Amino acid sequence: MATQSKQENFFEQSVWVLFLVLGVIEILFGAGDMIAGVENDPAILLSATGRTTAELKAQDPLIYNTMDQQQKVIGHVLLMTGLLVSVISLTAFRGGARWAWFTFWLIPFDMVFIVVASYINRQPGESLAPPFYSGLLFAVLTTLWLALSHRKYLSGEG
Amino acid sequence: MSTQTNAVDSATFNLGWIVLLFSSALATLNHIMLPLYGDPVALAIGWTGYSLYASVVIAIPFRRGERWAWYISWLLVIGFAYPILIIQESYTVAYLIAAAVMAVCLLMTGPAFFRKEM
Repeated sequence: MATQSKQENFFEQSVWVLFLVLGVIEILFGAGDMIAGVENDPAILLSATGRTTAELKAQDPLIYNTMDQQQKVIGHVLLMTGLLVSVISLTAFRGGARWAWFTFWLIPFDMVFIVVASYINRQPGESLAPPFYSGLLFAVLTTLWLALSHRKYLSGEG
Repeated sequence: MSTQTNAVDSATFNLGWIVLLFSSALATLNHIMLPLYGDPVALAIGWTGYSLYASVVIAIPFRRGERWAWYISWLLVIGFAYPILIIQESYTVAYLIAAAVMAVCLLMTGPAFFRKEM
């Protein structure tokens, strides 16, 4: 009875919203990639190959097609992951399930991998791809919110 | 949760659940190794994360009989069936077969989630 009236702090109240927003962003970007392939974010291709989409298409159509197909598959997987993250946020995570809190720690790790991959894949002299910055931002935000909401998830029944 | 059932201990449910869990866990391991086959790291990160989240959902809330977990597990079927529409290669055919197996398993486990409680 006494534990029911425990006040939740800002991070405990809003952590599920952050992950829901992240899930929705993944859905939107995933859908964009599924539809437009590499044309959805040409800066990624430019950073990784040093060539614009038009240059690659004209000079090496086979590689362009392969990368376009891969980007469409990445978009599909991103969309599916976004849906999973959104539904877990709205159900188990919002309800305070401990397993969901532990599972969501995979997201900052995922983001760090994206940041490192974007950095390593960059061609010399090219700018960093947008996922480097968005991955870094969400790695910091998700780590902060998960760490500061630990009391809600670790003190209950799970 | 109000939609949680406790009718999850039938042999049919257990068989379907084990095959689903095994398939998603195997997919996770396979996707971790994608860069070794020459695939882009971004693809590996995406597939690994997706199949790992799906594995956790199948391992915990699905096993507890929470209906939302059954519904959301169809994303695993969709996720594995869809790539053949983009790329026609042997591995996408294998993914399609895996999707069909997972669909059968979900149909096998369905009655346990929707059995009317007395």
